[in-house]
Amino acid sequence: MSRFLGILLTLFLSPVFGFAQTDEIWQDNGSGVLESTEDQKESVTFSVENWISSQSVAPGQHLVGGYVQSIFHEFIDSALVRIQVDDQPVDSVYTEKGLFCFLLNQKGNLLNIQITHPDFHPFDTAMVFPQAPQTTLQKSLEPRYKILLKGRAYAGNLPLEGVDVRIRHRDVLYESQTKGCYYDNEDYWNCLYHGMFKQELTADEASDSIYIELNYEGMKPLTRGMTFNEYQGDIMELQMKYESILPVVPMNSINLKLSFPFMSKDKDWFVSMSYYRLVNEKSLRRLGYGMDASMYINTLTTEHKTFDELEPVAVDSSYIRGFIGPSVVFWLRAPEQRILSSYVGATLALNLSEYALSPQAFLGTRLFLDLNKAINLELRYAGFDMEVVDYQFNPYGNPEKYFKTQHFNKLHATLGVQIVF
Amino acid sequence: MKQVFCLLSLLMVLSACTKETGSLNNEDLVFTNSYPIGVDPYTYTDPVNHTDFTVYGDSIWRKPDTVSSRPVLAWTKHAPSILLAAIFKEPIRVEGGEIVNTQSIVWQWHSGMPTVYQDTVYYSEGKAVSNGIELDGTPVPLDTGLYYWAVWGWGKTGVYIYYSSKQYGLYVEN
Repeated sequence: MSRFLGILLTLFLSPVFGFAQTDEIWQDNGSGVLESTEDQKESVTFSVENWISSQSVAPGQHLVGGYVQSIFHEFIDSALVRIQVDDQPVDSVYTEKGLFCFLLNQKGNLLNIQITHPDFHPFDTAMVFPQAPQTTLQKSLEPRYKILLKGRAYAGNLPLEGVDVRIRHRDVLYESQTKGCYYDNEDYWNCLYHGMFKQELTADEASDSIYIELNYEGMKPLTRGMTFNEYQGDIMELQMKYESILPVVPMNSINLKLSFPFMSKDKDWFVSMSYYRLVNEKSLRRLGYGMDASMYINTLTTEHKTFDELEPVAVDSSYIRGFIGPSVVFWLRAPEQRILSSYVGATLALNLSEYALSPQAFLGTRLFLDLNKAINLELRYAGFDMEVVDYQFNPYGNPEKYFKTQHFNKLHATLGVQIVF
Repeated sequence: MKQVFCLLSLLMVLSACTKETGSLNNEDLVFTNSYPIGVDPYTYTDPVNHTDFTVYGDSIWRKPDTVSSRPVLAWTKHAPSILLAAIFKEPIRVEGGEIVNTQSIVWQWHSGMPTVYQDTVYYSEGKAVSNGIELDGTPVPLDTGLYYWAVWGWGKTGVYIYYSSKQYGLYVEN
């Protein structure tokens, strides 16, 4: 009951304590006279004493009450105050707005008071049991070191969401995950806190160590260590590195390949799309099958005579040839290797212009950029017949145009991108 | 973004408009689907009888010019490196992009034959032609009568005829 009253009184007194939270500011007391925070402290003490005095104490009871504040004169809420009489625990309360109060029914020789709060150094004192029926205490606690540890997990320049974060401080382990996008005011262009984690930590010593461990599927575990005083309060950028092996064997791959004239024996342009799928049988786990569709674009130069006395002239003609057909692929290195998983394969392609079969062979390798995208380098051979146009010079008009079949052996390198799933 | 798109579209339209220069459908040319080779009026002196003759060329091209039996042919605005000039006994007839009455050619000169001046050919620098076959030696002078001549040329590839003159009449007077 007395505690309840105490709380009520506290609510009335809290405005009085409110201005006592700093000693840096001078306040107008309403009478036009400025009083310093020293005066305020006195005023707080006076008010606490008033509050203590206002508690109803039965005859034979002792009242021990007081006010717990920080060294910065801010009241400390929810601090645990324990009282012992002659080393025997008697009671414990939590401060409300910094105030606490005990009613002791027994007398003793030694009074022991302990005040603990997670953000402050513990306070422990002992005194001779007071003779007065009521005792007022005012204690200042020294805050512990407190930081809000913030970090962001990246893979390259991509923030990673859902990374398991374990922060160890002394014998306490904090576990969390990095966050996804938070859209400020539903502004969906503004993705905030992507890949971010934060953890509030407090310590008694500035030299306390903190260990951070990040774990994510497909990435190498990342650990960081520091002391409290090394942390400057900024958001740490923690770059995770990919594992050398993909977490899941990529069953399917879609490829877009391109070859420029300088990458080709005959200065051809080449573009191709392909799809490969692993057989995924135990004995054939490196074997794949799929489909290739490709196109060669090339310019051929033919020479022909005009007048006998003149040098032959050259004429360029452009040709586009399309191919489509099934492919088989064999992975020389395991397909789940992120770096240089190489393969060899063959395509039995149908020449869509001449309606003839054309064998193609290829040897390639790929390098993953992340977990499902890779760049691909390939060497490809294709042999096919093609009708090329030639001209017979006519001095009295336009030439006679005729076609001749020619065999081509194409060899070129391709550069491509792959998406695996 | 929209402005950039509009600007790019405009540039594409403009580039498409300016891609082809000159007319490729000139009904007056021997090869109608070609760029014109012009013939400006010129005067030459016959090397044997030292008489001056004037060829009016494009100025009055439908009327035959009176020339000597060893005429000099000249043209302007020629761009191609491969040219052929020929004198016909009959009007030149072209069908399907080809001269069909090549049997009527009596004299011809082409870029494989040397000339003293560029775009000007002396009769002696060409070859006489009989039944479509070039004859060796100095060409014999033309007989009196009406002839027709033209010059045409190819692009660098030597495939299609890109340049052509009109057909001009020559009246040879001995």
